[in-house]
Amino acid sequence: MIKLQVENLGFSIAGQQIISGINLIINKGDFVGLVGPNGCGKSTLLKNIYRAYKPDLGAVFIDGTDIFKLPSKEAAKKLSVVVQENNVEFDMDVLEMVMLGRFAHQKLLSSSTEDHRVAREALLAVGLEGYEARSFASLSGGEKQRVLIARALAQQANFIVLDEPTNHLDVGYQYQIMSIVKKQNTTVFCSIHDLNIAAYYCDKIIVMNQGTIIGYGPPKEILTTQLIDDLFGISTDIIINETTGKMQILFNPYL
Amino acid sequence: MSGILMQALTKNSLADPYVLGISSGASAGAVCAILFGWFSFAGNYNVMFGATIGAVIALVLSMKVATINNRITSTQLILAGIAVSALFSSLTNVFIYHSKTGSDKVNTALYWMLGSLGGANWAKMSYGLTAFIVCSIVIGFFHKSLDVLMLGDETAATLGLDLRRTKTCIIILATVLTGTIVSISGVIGFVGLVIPHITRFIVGSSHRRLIPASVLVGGLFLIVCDVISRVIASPQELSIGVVTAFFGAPFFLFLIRKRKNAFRGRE
Repeated sequence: MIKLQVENLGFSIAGQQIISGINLIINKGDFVGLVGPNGCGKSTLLKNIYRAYKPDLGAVFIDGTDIFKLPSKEAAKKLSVVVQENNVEFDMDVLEMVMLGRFAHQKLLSSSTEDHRVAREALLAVGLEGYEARSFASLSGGEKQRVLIARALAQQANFIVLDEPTNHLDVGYQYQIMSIVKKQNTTVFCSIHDLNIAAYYCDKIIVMNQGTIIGYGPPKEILTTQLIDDLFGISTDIIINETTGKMQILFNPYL
Repeated sequence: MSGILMQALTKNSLADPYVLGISSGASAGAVCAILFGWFSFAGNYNVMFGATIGAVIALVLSMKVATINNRITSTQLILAGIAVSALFSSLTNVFIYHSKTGSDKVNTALYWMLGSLGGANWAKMSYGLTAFIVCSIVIGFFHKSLDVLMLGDETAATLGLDLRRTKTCIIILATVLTGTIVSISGVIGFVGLVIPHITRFIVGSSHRRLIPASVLVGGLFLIVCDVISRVIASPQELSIGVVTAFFGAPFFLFLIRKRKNAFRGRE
């Protein structure tokens, strides 16, 4: 079943074409990674999908509905977003932060017990039970990111878009965050810098370069030595990691 | 309360009606209404109406100036606020000096620049209170939106907030409120800046508790300042704005200093 369909999407900033002719389909339940060199338009594509930008051309459909025609609250019930951990000017406690994910589901005045239940479940899912009363600002980078994922889960959207969610995190947190996302029963579209993480977690990988999609398929077919050299200018050996059974990319810099 | 709205709107903890020049705008509007009889179609509410119009103009002006690439930086915001504030204060003074004579001018000007509760009476209070209650009820409906808005525009939108509608409402509420209050008391600076911070420290960032608590703390603060202002210069009355500024300005400097450190730590 099709979850996300992007049709002939194009977007420019100040007259400069950032992405163009983007067509893609993501099936329900898939974990799809988005990789490509810096500045290739990954974030721009994601922002066009989660409505931070309005496309110049083309359309984005979730569950067959054009998302730009939905009211904000309805869109938030279909799609949740996690971006790189952002600093908040005003501190709040963890449960309050997660409860904000329930905004689209709530009535005007008060939060229902259902909202609280969902928020606590989301915290449990990211392994932060017991953190409810902690101040968000006092958490470590990895914990903050888990809170934001919990907030996204609390939206109960069944489709999460993540923009480099593990940037700035140490290797332990990187894998932890991705594992948490992977465990959720949801469709995922996630831009990822680390190719080994992409290969380990993704069902399929989309490769972008210079504002267009140049490859889409399972990691083993897509992430080839040739492609990595073309995109990133680095030589690689690709082996199978015997412990995990997944592919492992070994980098051999030319320098 | 208006300070909280401004801070949520600009995601900037330095924002308040005084810093943004909105109070000065309201003051200029009120003076216009009084001296030139503008807005007379609004009947007895003409001063309030004038003040609100002034507040709207000032807010739009300082937000426009402060926005670069859809982002409002603290520096821009404060600079824009200073400029707008100065502009409207000078306008106010020009109007006053133009139409009044003798020592009366100085007093009137001071009243509008520094604020005083001396000019308030129960008749004025009643319409001030009405505006306040109406705005409070509306804000009550909005407290969740405010919470969400504080996360930043982009995040707020992904959580399902209709940005344009919410922001319009906030601007209307904040300007009406500021306009009304200023038309009663003149410009009393720094209350909107200091109080939300102190209150946030006590009850946290959630607007459900923050707003009522701020109203209480703010009222208390004003009463204390009013008493001080009446006592130290007794038998004359010192403008209450002088007293609030005496407490507020150092706090403002402290906030700027704190933020600088925060930025340093981040980069």
